[in-house]
Amino acid sequence: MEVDREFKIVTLGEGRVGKTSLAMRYVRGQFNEKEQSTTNANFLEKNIRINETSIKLNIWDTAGQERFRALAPNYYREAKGALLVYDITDKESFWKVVSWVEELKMQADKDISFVIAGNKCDLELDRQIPKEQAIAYAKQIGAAHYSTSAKSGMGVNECFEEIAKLILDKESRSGSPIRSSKARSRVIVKNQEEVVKKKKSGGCC
Amino acid sequence: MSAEFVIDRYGFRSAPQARPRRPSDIIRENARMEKWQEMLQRWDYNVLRRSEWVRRRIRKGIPDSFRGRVWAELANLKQLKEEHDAGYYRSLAETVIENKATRDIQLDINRTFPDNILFSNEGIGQQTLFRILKAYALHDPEIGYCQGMGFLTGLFLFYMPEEDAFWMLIAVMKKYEMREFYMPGMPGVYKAFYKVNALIKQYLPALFRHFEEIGISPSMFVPSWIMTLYINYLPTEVALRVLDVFFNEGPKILYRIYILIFKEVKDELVELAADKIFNRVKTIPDSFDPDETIKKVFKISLGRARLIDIDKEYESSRGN
Repeated sequence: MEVDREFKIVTLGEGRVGKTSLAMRYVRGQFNEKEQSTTNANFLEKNIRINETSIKLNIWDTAGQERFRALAPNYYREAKGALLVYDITDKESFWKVVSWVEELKMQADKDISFVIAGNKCDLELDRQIPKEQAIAYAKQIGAAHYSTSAKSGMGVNECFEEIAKLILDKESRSGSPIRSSKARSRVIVKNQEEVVKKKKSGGCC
Repeated sequence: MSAEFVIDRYGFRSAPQARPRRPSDIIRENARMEKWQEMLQRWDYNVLRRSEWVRRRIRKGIPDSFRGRVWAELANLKQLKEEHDAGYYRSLAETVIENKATRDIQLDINRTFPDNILFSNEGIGQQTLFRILKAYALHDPEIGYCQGMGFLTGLFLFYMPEEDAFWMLIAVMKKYEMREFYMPGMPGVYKAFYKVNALIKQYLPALFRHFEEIGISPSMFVPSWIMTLYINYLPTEVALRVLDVFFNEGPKILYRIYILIFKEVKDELVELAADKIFNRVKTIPDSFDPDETIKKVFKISLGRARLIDIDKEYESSRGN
């Protein structure tokens, strides 16, 4: 299949909110009730079509636990889109999304597009984060918000496709596809010092 | 709808065709057990651990029935226990506490070996695992709990009682220097990234170039392979053999295996795009035979000096 665009996107969020399950549901159409905890980022691809454009999504599904945040810059560097996932039954996981947004604004590509997914919507009765609050926050940072359930499949295609649309929109507004597709999919593991240095220079003003 | 499965000797649900044990395997295992029995009777940590004879025995595989005991000897748990008060583990395990670490442990506990009958339900296995991880978090608050530790601890529980599994976890972190992988900032992971990149570049240059071209790094699997001592990646029997060597000879085997995994399929991988590589990587060790793997891994010539050089290079690249 002829691919017009290739977008690198990354899933981020607190541990066990369902990042792997969302990515697996989207790309493979599968759901595993007993998904293992992720220690290694996983890479998945999906070809989609938005209007007339065929797009290959390179999805980096990352490990969520706080400690693994130290490795995240390896994955979100040069990403054009981020799917920020929280668990609607876990208040803390929403605040984690907020802190990811802050980090990405400082460290990631300045054109990065955000979509926020409130996952585990099949557990509506245990909801801890009012939907309105999440939507209002998303609006405030210029992101889209989706209610998703990797278990039922609800909202899954929509949230990933929304990322692709946002990236396409940004491209067309800026008038040019940004850089070559190859550069976009690169993940090169750099050593920690470089990441730290970057952080400093990015955050000083 | 669900496929037929059997429970293997480690408690994992696996496909029934998974390598049946032949009578010759059992005879050989029995013969080895006798040799080990004799050897363990006169075990002396400081003498035998370093002997060439012991090293050869261990590379051939520690018999399953002695494994827990031999790991404990190699890690010198006895000495570790002597450094603490007698009731140290008990007092930590019985401490009632709720904090960030215990919440994280609780949430992760049913995601550790969900395919193993010891841990798949909220039973004794999960409770024991929780107590050990909580005790470790209290013992080492800087680390607290980090994903991956559950798999190490769970595996130790296949072979030893609760308290020994706790000391084993401490030994792995301290004596075997895995602590830096789990520390905030994960400096050990970054160090291993550097090491793996240097080694793949040296041993499998064509594959290294291909990885570079498609924009992924050969070191990307460090967090799942090395950080959890391959427990989650290699077939259980192969992982156990790697651990046997690891506990006796140290971390070098972890890097040898890393090279071997890619080496086995390098010609195939150089043809593949990034997503296909990730898919293929999942199944590479399915065909690994324990004896063959250990044999092959020691054919890769990798000296201690080379690893030290790479570490030095890494340190100076950081300090520039």
